[in-house]
Amino acid sequence: MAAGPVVKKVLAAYSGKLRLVIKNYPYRYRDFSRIAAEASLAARDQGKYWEMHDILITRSPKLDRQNLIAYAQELGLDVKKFTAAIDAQKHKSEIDADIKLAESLDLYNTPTIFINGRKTVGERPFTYYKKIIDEELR
Amino acid sequence: MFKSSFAAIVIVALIAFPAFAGKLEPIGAVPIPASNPQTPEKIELGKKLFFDRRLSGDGTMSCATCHDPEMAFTDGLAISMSYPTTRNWRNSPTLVNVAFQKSLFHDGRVATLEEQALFPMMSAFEMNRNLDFVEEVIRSVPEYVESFKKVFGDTDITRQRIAMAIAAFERTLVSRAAPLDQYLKGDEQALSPDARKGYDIFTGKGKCAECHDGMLLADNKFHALNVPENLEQEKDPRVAATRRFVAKVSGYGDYRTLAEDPGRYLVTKDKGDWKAFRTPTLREISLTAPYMHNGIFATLDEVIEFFDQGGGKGNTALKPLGLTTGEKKQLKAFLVEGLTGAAVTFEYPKVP
Amino acid sequence: MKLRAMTLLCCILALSSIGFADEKRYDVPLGDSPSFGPHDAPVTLIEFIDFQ
Repeated sequence: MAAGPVVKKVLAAYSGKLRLVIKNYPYRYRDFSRIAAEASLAARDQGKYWEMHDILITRSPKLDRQNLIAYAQELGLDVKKFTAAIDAQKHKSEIDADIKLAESLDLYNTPTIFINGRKTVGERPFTYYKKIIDEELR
Repeated sequence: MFKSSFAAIVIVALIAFPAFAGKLEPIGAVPIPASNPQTPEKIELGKKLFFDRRLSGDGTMSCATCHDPEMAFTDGLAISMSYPTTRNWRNSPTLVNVAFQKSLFHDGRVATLEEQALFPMMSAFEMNRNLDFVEEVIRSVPEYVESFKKVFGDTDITRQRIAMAIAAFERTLVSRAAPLDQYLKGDEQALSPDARKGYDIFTGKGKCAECHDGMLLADNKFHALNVPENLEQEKDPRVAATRRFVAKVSGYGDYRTLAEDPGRYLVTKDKGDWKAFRTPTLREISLTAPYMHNGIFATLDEVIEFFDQGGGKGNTALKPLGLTTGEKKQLKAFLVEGLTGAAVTFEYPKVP
Repeated sequence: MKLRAMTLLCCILALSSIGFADEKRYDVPLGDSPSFGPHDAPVTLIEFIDFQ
């Protein structure tokens, strides 16, 4: 589960003052969480991380291999290269490292968002993040 | 004749005035039901289940989602987190010291933690998990099967056992050594001079202790204070759906047109309970904003102001207090300084 | 007199450690994760995401 539109709104509202970093924490028991994470990083290899990021969020749960390849096509990526990457789990170690980090932080929910290190758990309304960010900007 | 009527008056007086009405008490020993004794393994199992997203329909929510250990086991929102696509309608209460409560939920519909634990799991707007199904999901996890055997003597996974384990974990969430408790035990210096004055207001002019008394600073009764409605609730059709749903399953005939939260009424169907909600504990209050059953007040200042004004429109429970600015400040000092105990020591579990 | 000063000091220290839960800060390394926005932005938002 991604914060999707809320994070987008946050980015727009604080453009220039905010840096967004994405780490992967795919839930072991959801079928496509992992492969979707692979897809996002495979798209990153071809310079279209954020476009794929947005597609994955809006098209979820249609994140099976077939659909992911279709999205790569839609984005004009080198489909052969993309497919090879997700099939080979090219970015397994990065994803595993993110998971390890999440587990070391005892995260048990997604999205978990850290704003200058301040933790917020779960999908929250825009006003909630705004309050924290405004405090951080003071 | 004179003697017996005098005795009668004394007896009536003793019955009419419960032992500690208006009196605050320090936190004592945790009440453990004989039917669910505490063991370290049971507590550990309950802790895992508490954090396990498997207990929700789509794997996004666990008990901890709305009862976050780093937010005094609330979620810091006016209206609690909801199951995706739905909207909750009430505030998430703290679980710190929940073991001492005699009734649970804002409408007090259950009396034990074991009963409580299953409700949010089943609730369509909370964790939305079919209980028959969740038993089979848990049964598929070897680590859980092993734990259940160790804890309950055999490998059967039942919703009752799931609830018992979670309840056992919740009974460990106790905050002790609050400055109020030290003060009640005789340590005059446990509260600052302002907080001490605040305590006097709390138990005197403020009349707070009339309902916020005893160990939890809560009388286990239900009062209709008519707090302002949460405007978001009035506008959001998803909240309306939740409201009607709860009313329907509570057997309220007019659920189709219900426009406000009737609180305890849905449980007792007693007209006197319309819009009445359980008096919440004030322990840890500075950590459990926002306040009231709908989270309408973000700060203690707003809460104090509300009570000073005599509560909401049309309520018959409260009267204006006439507190001075200084008295409000002292009352707040008492609430903030006096009622926060030692942080609940906590280690996250490794959920299988 | 000294005892009063000591207890007052303890009160102040105790109060300052009653942190508000939402001000605890975690040190989360950025690593090489995908990032959007200026590197020197005053606010960094790290999102742990599950796309599904």
